[in-house]
Amino acid sequence: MPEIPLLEVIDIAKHFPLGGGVFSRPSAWIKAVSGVSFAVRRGERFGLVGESGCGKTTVGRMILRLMEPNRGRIEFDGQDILTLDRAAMGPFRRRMQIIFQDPYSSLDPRMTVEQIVTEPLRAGNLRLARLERRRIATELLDKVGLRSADLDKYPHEFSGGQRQRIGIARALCVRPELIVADEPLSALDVSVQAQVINLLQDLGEEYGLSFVFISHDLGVVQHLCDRIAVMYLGAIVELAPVHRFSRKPCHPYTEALLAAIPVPDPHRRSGRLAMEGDVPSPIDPPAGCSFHPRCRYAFDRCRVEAPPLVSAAEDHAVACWLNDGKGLRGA
Amino acid sequence: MSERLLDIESLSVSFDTPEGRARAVDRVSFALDRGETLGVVGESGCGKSVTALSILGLIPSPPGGIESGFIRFEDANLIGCPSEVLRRVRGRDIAMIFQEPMTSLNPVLPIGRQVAEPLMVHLGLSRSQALDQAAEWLERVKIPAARRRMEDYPHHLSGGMRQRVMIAMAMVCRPKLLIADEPTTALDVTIQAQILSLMVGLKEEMGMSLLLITHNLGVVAQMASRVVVMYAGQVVEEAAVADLFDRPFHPYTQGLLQSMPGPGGRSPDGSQRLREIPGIVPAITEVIVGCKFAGRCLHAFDRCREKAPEHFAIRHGQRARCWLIHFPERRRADA
Repeated sequence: MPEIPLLEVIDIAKHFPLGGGVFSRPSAWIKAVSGVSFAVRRGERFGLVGESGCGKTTVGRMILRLMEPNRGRIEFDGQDILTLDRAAMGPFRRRMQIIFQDPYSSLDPRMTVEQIVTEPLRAGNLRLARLERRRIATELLDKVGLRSADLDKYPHEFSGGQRQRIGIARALCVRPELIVADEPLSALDVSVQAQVINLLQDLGEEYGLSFVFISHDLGVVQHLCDRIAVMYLGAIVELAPVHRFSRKPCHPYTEALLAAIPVPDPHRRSGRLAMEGDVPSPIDPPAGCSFHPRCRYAFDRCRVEAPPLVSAAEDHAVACWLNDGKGLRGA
Repeated sequence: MSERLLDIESLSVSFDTPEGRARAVDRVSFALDRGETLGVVGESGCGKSVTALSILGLIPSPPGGIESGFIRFEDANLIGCPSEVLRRVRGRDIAMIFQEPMTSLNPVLPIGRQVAEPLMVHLGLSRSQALDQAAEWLERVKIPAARRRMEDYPHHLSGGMRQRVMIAMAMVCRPKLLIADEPTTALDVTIQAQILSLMVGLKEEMGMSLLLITHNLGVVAQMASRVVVMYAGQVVEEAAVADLFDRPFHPYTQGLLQSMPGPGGRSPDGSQRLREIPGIVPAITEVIVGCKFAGRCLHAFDRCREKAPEHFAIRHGQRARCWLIHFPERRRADA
């Protein structure tokens, strides 16, 4: 019997109304996410990559039910969580936590570090004696590389990297099984980024955590994740294990994304032309494949019919007519 | 005509803060030749942006002030020169583009007018001539349907398009030097690639020099011919781009290069873990006697904590602020 994935997202969609008021209908809909499906196995680090506006953050928020999808199903450990009411959702909330992008705005400036990192316990109605709470907080700080002397300090006394460590400690507090990390590194400097990447890796191994790692930085995601889904304009265009990514990207968008990363090697200057054009508006996405206006391989079919996400090889799915389920595009 | 366009010598800039006087830029020296691209790399707070603002005389004073040093641009010292002279240089001979195009464009003025403005101010063109040239420039920076978009306001445009408008504005007067401060940091990677290739094209066509300030080592490797690495207000290393990436000398430069995930997602030495630089950047108000990096350096020894190193020549065209050149035996092999 196949193992039940820890998280399964099935065809979720989120449309935001544009304009409209109490009495009037919205004038249009922003299709932020339109039909996304994937599964995260236990202990797996799953990366969700794409450029601004591709819907990756919206997917992350829907997984945690910080936002309700317009359609689709989200199963956590086999249970459809979208049907649960507030009370029934409680135990599931403890099993999944989030780390935010901005370590400045995601910590309450009026709370001490101890209060911040143990807040999930209070939110989960786990009443603990003061000493016990302090013990837990000390242990958490130790895990993320801060000192117990920091317990009574306030967020403003810390640097960005240290604040991100506090955010990580808070997420770990209730011993979750899944962590959704939304751009946890992009506000940090390179040298601090490496510290936090290593920390996430170590903690993941120590606690057997699963991650949904949301980022625009394909380099970081390739380093950290086991499998990667690339999103474009609200849909997954390619999903594959990390080792297949750099060697054999199948979707022209993934190819362009990889080619656009400036290589930190002066001997390998790319003479290649940058991909033209901007990401189209999600209010009025192009007909057919949403990538076709920027795609250098686009042909007639791409302009009229959207390609489904189909398996191109084992564990490797692509939404592109060039693959068409018949295998990979010839080199 | 001399090859040298810009020469910064021992520039120090400090700011008054509630915690005392903070030296944001500490005896920074570097030079830029005509037609050259110099990359300035460093992390937040290292003084790279303050250095750039000093060149244009844009340090807010108070609380800031240039303590000492020279900034020579084509044989004229820009420090302490009369403000009318500076105004003439700024925007005409030296132009600058910033990280966040939304905050540096005027939100209530159509983009065509904004691009035309420097032409009227600096070159004395009439309004219609200036608008005509502005339209040409918007086409050159590849704004689609440029002539129809002259009346658009900045909020009508995407981030990448706004940065193109900024570039057009900076280029209209054909400056000799373009200072680009994190020009692509706010942009998505595919848009970043477009903007960088646009900048390379324009730079070559116009033969101008480019001072490219960035924290992104990939961008530097792709764009610069020479690189200056800054840490805590100081230049810690300077080298030709190939030397910097092949033979970095300063432990901070080495640490920066090793802390990036390599291509294909593995760290450069092939292991799963990234090499990290331990610790954090010292506070700008902190008084440090020896080398400013000593507290985080894996090779630091007594001398580093006692006396600040000067710039030492490593090889032709490469210099570093590090004692290890005189004490190579102190470099730990395991670190």
